[in-house]
Amino acid sequence: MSPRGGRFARFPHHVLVFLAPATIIYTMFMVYPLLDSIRLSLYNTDGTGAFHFTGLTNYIALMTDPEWSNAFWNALKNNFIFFCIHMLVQNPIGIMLAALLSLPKLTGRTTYRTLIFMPTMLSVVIIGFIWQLILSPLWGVSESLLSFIGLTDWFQPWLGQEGTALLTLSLISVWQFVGIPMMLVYAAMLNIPEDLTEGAIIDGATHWEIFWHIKLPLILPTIAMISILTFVANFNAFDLIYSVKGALAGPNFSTDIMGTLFYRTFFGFQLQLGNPTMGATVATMMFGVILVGVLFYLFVLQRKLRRYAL
Amino acid sequence: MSDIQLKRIDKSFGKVKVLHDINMSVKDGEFIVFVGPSGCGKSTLLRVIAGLEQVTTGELFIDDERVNDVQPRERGIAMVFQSYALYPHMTVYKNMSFGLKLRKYNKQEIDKRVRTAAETLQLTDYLDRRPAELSGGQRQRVAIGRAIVRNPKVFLFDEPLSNLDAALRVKTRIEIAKLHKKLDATIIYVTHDQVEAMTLADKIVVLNNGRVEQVGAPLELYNNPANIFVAGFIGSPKMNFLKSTVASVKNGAVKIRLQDDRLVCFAHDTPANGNDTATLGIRPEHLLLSEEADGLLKAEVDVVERLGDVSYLYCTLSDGTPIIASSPGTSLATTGDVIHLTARTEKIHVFGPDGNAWK
Amino acid sequence: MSKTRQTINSTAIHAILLSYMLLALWPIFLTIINSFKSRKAIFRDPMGLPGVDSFSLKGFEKVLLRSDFEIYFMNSIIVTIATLALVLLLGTMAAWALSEYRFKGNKWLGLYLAVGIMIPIRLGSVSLLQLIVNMNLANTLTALVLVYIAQSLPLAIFILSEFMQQIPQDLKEAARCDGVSEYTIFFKVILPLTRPAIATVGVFTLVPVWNDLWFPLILAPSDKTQTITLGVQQFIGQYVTDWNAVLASLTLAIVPILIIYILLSRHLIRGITAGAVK
Repeated sequence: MSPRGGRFARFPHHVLVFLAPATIIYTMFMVYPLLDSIRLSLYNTDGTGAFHFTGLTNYIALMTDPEWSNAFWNALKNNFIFFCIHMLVQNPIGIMLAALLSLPKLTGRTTYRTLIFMPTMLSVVIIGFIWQLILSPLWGVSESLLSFIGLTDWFQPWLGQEGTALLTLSLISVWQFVGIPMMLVYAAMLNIPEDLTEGAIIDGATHWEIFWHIKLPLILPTIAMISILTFVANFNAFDLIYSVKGALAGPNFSTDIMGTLFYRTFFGFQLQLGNPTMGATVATMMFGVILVGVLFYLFVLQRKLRRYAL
Repeated sequence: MSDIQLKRIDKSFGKVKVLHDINMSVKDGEFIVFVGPSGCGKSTLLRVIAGLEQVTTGELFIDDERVNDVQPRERGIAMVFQSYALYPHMTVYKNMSFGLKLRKYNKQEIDKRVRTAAETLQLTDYLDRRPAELSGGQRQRVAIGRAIVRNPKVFLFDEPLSNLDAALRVKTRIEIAKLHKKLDATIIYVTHDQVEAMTLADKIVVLNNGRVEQVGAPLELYNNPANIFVAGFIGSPKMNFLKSTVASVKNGAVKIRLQDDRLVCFAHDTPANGNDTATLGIRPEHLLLSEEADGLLKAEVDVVERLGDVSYLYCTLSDGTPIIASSPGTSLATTGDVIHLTARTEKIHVFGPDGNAWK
Repeated sequence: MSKTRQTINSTAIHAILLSYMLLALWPIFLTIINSFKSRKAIFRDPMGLPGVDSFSLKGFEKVLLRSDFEIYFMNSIIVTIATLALVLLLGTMAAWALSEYRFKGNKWLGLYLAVGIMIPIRLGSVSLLQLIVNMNLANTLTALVLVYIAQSLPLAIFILSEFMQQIPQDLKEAARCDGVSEYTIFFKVILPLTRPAIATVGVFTLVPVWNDLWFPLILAPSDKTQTITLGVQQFIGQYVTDWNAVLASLTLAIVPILIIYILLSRHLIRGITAGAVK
């Protein structure tokens, strides 16, 4: 270092040069908007567009005023259902596929892995439309497939019915994102030394017992991480519902989740005008839900689940 | 009874053949050591016996039952891995009882066996700890304990001492020897360390490039190595090898020409011809300092390694061949000395052009 | 007996994996093959491959005629590449500073930058839109690039600084002893060594940016600035009954990503399995 630079050694200028651009852009376009949204949620607008501080009025309205609260509680409930279906279907299937892929001496491992992961790479919008076409009664692809296995009468326009639309959309999302838990669990299982599974084989364990008694306990931290990733992604989801069902999340709001509610509140729909401060309120509620999840993960799950040195 | 028989075993990984025509038998209660340089196939052979690898061709019998297609858990074997392969999320107790629990033993029986084994291995105080909280030597003992509780017909050890430091290695080696006496079990043990092999084995199997070079008791291998490979592998420091030629063959007596046209004479009935190449092998401990007139070899001392009871003289012959001689710790030889060495004829090994020893 | 059981097991494993693979690929495959068929054939025989009599490019003609697909496409490419380049540059710089230099607040800054991995930037959309409008950047690709950089930096910095911590200290010390400046060390010594992690970060940045619907929808929805994802969404919304056109537009959106994926899947999978994300 030059003697001149040495005098400023506490915070040398090159460190500033390296750090400043990233920190500034990140602060300006991510941190500031997030914090400012929280601030905005405490304001209201009148007809002239001026902002007035109103404290927690928006939150009270969102949770108790029927004009807002029906939609809010409905979206929150639907979002939890959406999340539960992912936890119950996506993650177990992902873990199962990873367990199969990590079995010793499996041929074609790379091909399976690459191809099963493929849908995860595509845009949610594209996936939504593809499934909309496939499930469309007009096209009849699903109907003829079902008749193939003798279930002709079973077919229904699942995406169009109030009782099944949310489930169907959740399963479409599960179908697309199974690749993520699969890959992460697979990676975790690769880190388990082969000696350990061979030791268990000698101990007399079957592949199933090895999975259950050895591999699963060792990958619990990974499963916790997958769960929190799923949680954040689910409570932030929007694209799928919006492209398949539109901003109204029909039929009769049965597929409305927090993301679509946020969009509608912010931009308005049909006769209702957009309301930025109420939008900010919904966004802050989402932020809160996600924060609770993340903190639970960081301070409960991550501390309880020990990562064993392998 | 826990006899093991290997008949014409071949093993290939894809196109690479790692075991060639292995035949051997292990008797009940024997301590067998597979030894050889790394990559010689000794671990693969052990894994074949364990059932972790399928043989490509050949037959494997345990107690006269053909076990080629029998799952490892049904072979009545237990194995101790180089890395110990302890389950990091289980306590010592659970590590040791895991195999028994899978076999649906009842709780009292499991408890009895685990505690007995823990007693034998001095692990009683550590039963509630996890492997991460144990020292290397303790983990090693847990790995052995996990094998013992199962009362297996055969114990398989895959380089079990290589992760321990030198002092602990010697101590554990002795413990394993004691354990063998106590359990009276059949043990197959893999190592690359010939000292371990010599000290532990009833019978050593020397492997090289996937082939069995020689099978025999430790001293038999030391005294009568079947070929140059075994001669060089067993014994420390290594045997000295001298390139030489056959000078004459007469009435069962073979004369071999050494450096400076000195001749050594052997009574020998292997057909040999004049001018055949031969390699003489002499162990450092069999080379004796002598007067010039009786000397077989003349050498210049490069380095003297003094170990106290014995000194190793690292020398060079006039033709450039390096040679090691051991001399008593009282020897005064120093660097730069020219010395004369000799050896008793019966201590000299002769290997033909194919590398096999003359009988 | 055990042997037969083993072969049955491995057959069952392959059967499960194979059928899941088909389930994953079939919808994509179905879309692509039907986009090359005439309207009649799409409905008469959805599962059939396009044949001589059923082959038709009508859908693609309509898409290219009725919409500005080329523009959407270019927009997506510009946004993605600009984001990628800047994230990699700024991300490696920041990661290097965080992992190499000990200064006051180093740990807190690292934590501050890592928060964005878990908290979605979308939640600040209300203020973000105001900010972009105030900066006169609404309906520009610049707005998208800025937001995407902010969105991608946290994960990029996290992965890169984990990686950079593993670069042996000796390499940098040796360079410093030679009197090389910190900038030269970064560009000439560190950047080349970081290449494997850069590939991983590149894929993790590229995919969400290319696929995003939300920000194009709220920040840059004008005809001239639509990205491919938004363009397809809008196009399909408009021509929902024209199956040829819908299928063709989907295929046009799928194929580039499939090609990129096949080219980069090795890096991506290596990145994930090497524990880049923990």
